[in-house]
Amino acid sequence: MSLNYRAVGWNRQKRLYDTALVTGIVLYLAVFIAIGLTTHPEASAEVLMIRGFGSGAFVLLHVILAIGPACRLAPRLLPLLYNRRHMGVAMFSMALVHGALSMLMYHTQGDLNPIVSLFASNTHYDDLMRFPFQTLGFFALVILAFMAATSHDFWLANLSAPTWKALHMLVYVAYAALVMHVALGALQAESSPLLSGFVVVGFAGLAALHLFAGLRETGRRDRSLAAPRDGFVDVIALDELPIDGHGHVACLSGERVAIFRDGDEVFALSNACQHQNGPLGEGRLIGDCVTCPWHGYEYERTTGVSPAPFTESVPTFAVELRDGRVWIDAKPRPARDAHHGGEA
Amino acid sequence: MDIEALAGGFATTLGIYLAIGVLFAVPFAWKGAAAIDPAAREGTWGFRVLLLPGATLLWPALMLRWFGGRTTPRVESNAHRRAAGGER
Repeated sequence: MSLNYRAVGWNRQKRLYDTALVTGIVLYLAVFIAIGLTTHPEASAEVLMIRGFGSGAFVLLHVILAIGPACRLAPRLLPLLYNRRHMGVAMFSMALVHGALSMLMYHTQGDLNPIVSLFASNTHYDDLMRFPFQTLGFFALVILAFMAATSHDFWLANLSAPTWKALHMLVYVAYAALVMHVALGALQAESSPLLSGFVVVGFAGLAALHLFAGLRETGRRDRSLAAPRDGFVDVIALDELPIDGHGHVACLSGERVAIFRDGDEVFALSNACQHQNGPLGEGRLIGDCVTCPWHGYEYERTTGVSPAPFTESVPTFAVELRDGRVWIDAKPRPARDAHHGGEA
Repeated sequence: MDIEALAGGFATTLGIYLAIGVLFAVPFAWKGAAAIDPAAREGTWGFRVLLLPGATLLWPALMLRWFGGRTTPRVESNAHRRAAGGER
């Protein structure tokens, strides 16, 4: 990235986000333990803590996984996406407390190494109903540890974005392991159908959100454009472009292009933000810059270069207006070589 | 199959891996991060502390980067960047 790294680039929104996050976690734990003390007076404080932190992390993981597709379907939820990494680290911290307390309580009393005890105290690996569910939780925790440890922008830049994204997509593997961890663990000991209902509703809700968001994306991507003429492609009528700073997205030259209008001028930039591939076309044109909706990275509308001292950039496209329609050059320009956007 | 022996081997390997990781993480946070990314040269102490867990877990990949000589992060390529004729 471009500026010197800091632990956290604090601003008012991040402070509000984290305050709400910590308040929500503390409230959840307080309510969970209060209810637990009432309904299960025989349960020890350690057991209530294990269940509270474990269930809290599982609920938070659902929220984290829902934010991405929910923002696709309802852009007004984008502020939730802005600081999702802090939510992920908080979720991992809760899962770590759950795992550490479980290890202390169940795997440190004997002579065996706790890790050995975890894997060898239940050896029914060939029996689904008696499967050692704690090992599933362990592997999920390992994945979440890698994700939390690499959540800083330094890792995104230095692992390379494809590697970083592949690593963080493992959250779905962790989620699957955790669903099985809960189903083969807590649900087996629970007589009330309430907990099973929560797990099923959570899974079905996440699946539906991802499905709807995916279908919507597919619909957008499949809109085909006419063949180029003089190298330029007819993309949209000028009157159809938003005039309030919002963008339009079209698929051109193998990727999506973000198109913005300012009066009678039109500007086109490659849609993928250099930071995390956020969709610039879903951002705003504010002044001379297009702002990414995910984390606020900015690109100058004609050159595609971030304002100094930042050094990010995206390719841009030459634009021509012909008979009230927007034509875009099919060949992108390197960011620093771009001169002007479309002019009326 | 002796699960206890397998688990013992796994626990030993994990312990060695993490021990090397901890030994690597400190010099990496102090010097190595700046060697592979110019933006880390004047990174704050808080930032360097945040690097420790990741460096502990990912030490083999970071060791290759650090001693491989590349001094700047690679920009992700995509169809537009390739068609534009550069990695920018």
